[in-house]
Amino acid sequence: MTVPSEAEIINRILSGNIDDFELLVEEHKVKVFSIVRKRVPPADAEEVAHKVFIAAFKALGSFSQNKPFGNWLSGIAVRTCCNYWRECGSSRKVLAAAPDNEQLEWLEKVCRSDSIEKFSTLSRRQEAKELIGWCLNKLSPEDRALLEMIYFEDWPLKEAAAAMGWGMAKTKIRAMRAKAKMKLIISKLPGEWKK
Amino acid sequence: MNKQEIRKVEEAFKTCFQADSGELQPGPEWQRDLMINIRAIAMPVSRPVRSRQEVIIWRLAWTSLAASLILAAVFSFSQTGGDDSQSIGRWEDKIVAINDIIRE
Repeated sequence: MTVPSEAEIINRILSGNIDDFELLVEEHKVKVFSIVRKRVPPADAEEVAHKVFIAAFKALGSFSQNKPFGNWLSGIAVRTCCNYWRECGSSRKVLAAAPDNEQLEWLEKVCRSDSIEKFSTLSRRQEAKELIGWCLNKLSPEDRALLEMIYFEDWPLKEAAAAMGWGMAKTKIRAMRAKAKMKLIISKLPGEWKK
Repeated sequence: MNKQEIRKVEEAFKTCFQADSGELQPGPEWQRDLMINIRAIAMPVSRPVRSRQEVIIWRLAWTSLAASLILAAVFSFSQTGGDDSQSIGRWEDKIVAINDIIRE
């Protein structure tokens, strides 16, 4: 028995075989989860991943089958995470605790680290996760999404632009501004603890 | 913080972000719940088809009712029309008979 192609599955879903959507979910859930889990708190990851697939199902009719379905879905995942932070911002939900002494110590160790092994170990610590969450919360949802895509995950600019639904020039400028903001936030980090 | 320190923190953030994979495989319940939601969303898509069929059936019902009413009316009028012509004929006969009597 031949495995149907994604294009065939999509056409079948569009013609009313809704259950075939499960084949797409099965194929892409790990990728979507890996995108979502890095971007939203673990407690909300499953709900956001649900929203991603629901948004994809609703927009399936507008999917142009010239490009890979996975890339299209990744774009939806990024935008859904962006919407998550927008909703958090509007509801003024506090998701990252204010930096504490442990994070300051981590920051000092990172700045003083001279060996790659030590640096790598430090980067995997809980303090790093907390601090990165705190810094990213200082940015707008769009700036946050751009930083994550372009600077943290090395997405090509073209893919990032497609994910955000923006032109290349706008994406490039916004990404540069987002990075400059992040640098400013990092440079002011030690001062945040003194407050 | 100097530029080099900022770059180190940025690199640490990047490594941290990329390393944070956690448990990537969602559970079977997650997928089952998702498909339930998807089917619930898909329902309104199939509903219009059913409602369109309902509209067609109702239209047919009203049209056939109206047609049967018109036919009934036409039939009854044609019946009464026939009776009238018969009674007129009878009256004409009577008038002719009365005229004959008067002349005699």
